[in-house]
Amino acid sequence: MNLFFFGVYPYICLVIMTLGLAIRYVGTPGEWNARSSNLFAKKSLLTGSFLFHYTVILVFFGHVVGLLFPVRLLDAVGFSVSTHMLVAGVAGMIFAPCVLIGLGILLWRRMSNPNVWASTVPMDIVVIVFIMWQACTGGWQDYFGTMPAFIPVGEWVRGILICQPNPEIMEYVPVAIKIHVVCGFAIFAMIPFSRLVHFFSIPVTWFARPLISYRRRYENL
Amino acid sequence: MKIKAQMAMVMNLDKCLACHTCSIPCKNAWTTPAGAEYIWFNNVETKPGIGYPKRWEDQKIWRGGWKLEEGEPKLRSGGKIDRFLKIFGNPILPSIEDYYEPWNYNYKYLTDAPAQKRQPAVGPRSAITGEHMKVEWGPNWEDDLAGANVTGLEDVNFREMQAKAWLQFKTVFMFHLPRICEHCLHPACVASCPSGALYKREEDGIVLADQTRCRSWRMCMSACPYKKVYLNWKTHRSEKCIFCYPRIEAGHPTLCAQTCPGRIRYVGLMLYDADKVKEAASAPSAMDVYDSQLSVFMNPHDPDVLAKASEDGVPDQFLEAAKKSPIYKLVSEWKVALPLHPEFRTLPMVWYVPPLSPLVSGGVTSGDQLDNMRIPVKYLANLLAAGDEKPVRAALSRLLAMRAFMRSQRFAENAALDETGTKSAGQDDFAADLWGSPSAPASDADIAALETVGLSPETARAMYRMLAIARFDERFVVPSSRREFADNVDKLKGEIGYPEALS
Repeated sequence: MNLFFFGVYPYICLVIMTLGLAIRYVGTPGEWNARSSNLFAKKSLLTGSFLFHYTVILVFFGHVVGLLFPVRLLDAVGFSVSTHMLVAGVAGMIFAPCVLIGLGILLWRRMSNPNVWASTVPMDIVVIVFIMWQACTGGWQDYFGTMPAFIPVGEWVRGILICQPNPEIMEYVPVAIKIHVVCGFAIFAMIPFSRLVHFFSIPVTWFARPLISYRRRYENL
Repeated sequence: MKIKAQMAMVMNLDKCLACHTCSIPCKNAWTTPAGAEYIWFNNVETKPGIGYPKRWEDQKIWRGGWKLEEGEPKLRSGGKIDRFLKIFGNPILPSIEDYYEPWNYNYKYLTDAPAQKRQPAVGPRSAITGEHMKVEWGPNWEDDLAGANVTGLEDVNFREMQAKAWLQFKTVFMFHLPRICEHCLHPACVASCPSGALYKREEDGIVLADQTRCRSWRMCMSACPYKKVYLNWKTHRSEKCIFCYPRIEAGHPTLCAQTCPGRIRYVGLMLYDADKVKEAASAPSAMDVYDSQLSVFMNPHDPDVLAKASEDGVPDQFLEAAKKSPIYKLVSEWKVALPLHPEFRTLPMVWYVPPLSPLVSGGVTSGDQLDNMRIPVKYLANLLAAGDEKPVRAALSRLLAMRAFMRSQRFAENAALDETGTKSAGQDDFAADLWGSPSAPASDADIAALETVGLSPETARAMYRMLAIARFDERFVVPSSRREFADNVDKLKGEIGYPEALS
């Protein structure tokens, strides 16, 4: 069980994500977008979307720093385990409810506004529910967790990334964290099948592009 | 200098009677799929009125187009960094209520209803949800001034005017404004697109939204001051008028232009200097933008211009078409067509001949005839010249002078025919009229009248021929594109296009 979920399953998810993204990008490039419903129900979108996106981006970077950088490295720059615990805990205590509230507003408007509901596909609801669930299990650790879980989980994640999985590390982390990790990887697997593909379309090239772009109809004309 | 070709259109508002024939083939060809019901690449509005979406011209609300900041044109909707940080929600996006909630009727019920006491009736049902709904707005809600006494008060073209007074029954005026995408030289929608999906075609300047690169960021909808970029609510992609490019490439005019029964539309090429576009958009005052845009256009009869254009890659058949372009005549030579809201600084390429209107009752004989027209010049100036009455007066005077001249010609011809006895008065020599050929010499008084507005008898006859006769091959001069370089269309058939349309 432990071997499957923390040794095999993450790779299944990552493979589904990578292959799925590639197939979707090549196969149906026209459906690769954020599926905005800004046209319907603007006010509720503005509140929910800004609250959710800004906090979830901070949470994402928090995970990157906390999990991908080894403890020794953070120690070396003067970021001790206890400070780390404190910063991550307090940030999580603030951000987890923000994500929950933001998504709650988005879910509520999606279900209560008939126009938004008509333009909703089941996957839109699934991703919202999953991310809310993530905020709950992640928030549980921040509010009630007693051990610095990022130390074993971080080590495990780094093992996964360098293709040397150590599932036994995960054996002793709290159940809430285990659920958080498993559902997290499920979200990775969901990306190609949902609107979440817009992660990969953050318009950074915009800043390098000239304002008025011209394109040729036929390249060799 | 870099000369490019641009497909352009002129609409003669003097002849538009809002039959909406243009909108129908456009709708049928391009925007019937689910999700596109509310999208009208072409719609016809009645002025005064606030149009579709509501108050689209009011950039205090929608912040479309460009503004001048330290001599540079900047997007009114916000710069890249500002927009990037607000990418999660667009506060200046019109809502579906501002366009209108599309609706349909269950016509089947009319024939399938069981026998009952009363006639079966059907109510409107939302095309989005399928539920019963109240119809509250539409692409031409203010048709023939319907409700304009209320909505007209918010029409920004009444700037510096007493809107209330002009909307009284005795003074009210009306004309129609068909609108498509302006295919601007300095398009705000293109500049605002984070993912680079919107682009201007190098060959003919048509502005297109790449359906495979649109990521649903919806900045274009806000940036376009004409609100002619739409979001398909089902595919969540931007769609906009494509200037019927498949037809244009084959040498045909757009559907809206070809089907117009009033022959109000002209389609042709303009040559312009792409390097001067930004400078033109940066004209110091809003009223200068019209002149600065004119200065960007190049004379297709100048051999140097043609040589340079050829060098810059404009194909020969495009140059031939540019020489015969009705747009160049109406816009640059005769200056009877004017841009729609030049103050938006997008340098639009769909221009309008301002409408003449009847003189107000009371038999006014003194003063400028233009000031006694039912449609106030100031209103037209606010619509077509950033409030500057000069170009509007010039255009209207030329149209009036042309009319007076042709009428005088007609009488002279008839008088001449009476004398010779071959035909009686009233039996016009229609053929002579049709070709605008001088069958009677112009009198000195006629020539003098034309000269006051800067026209010669030949020009007046050419204008008459273009505006009143408006032959098909003279209103539409569309070169076909170089198909020898085209993709293998037979191979592509059934493979590309909107996936929704194929299934």
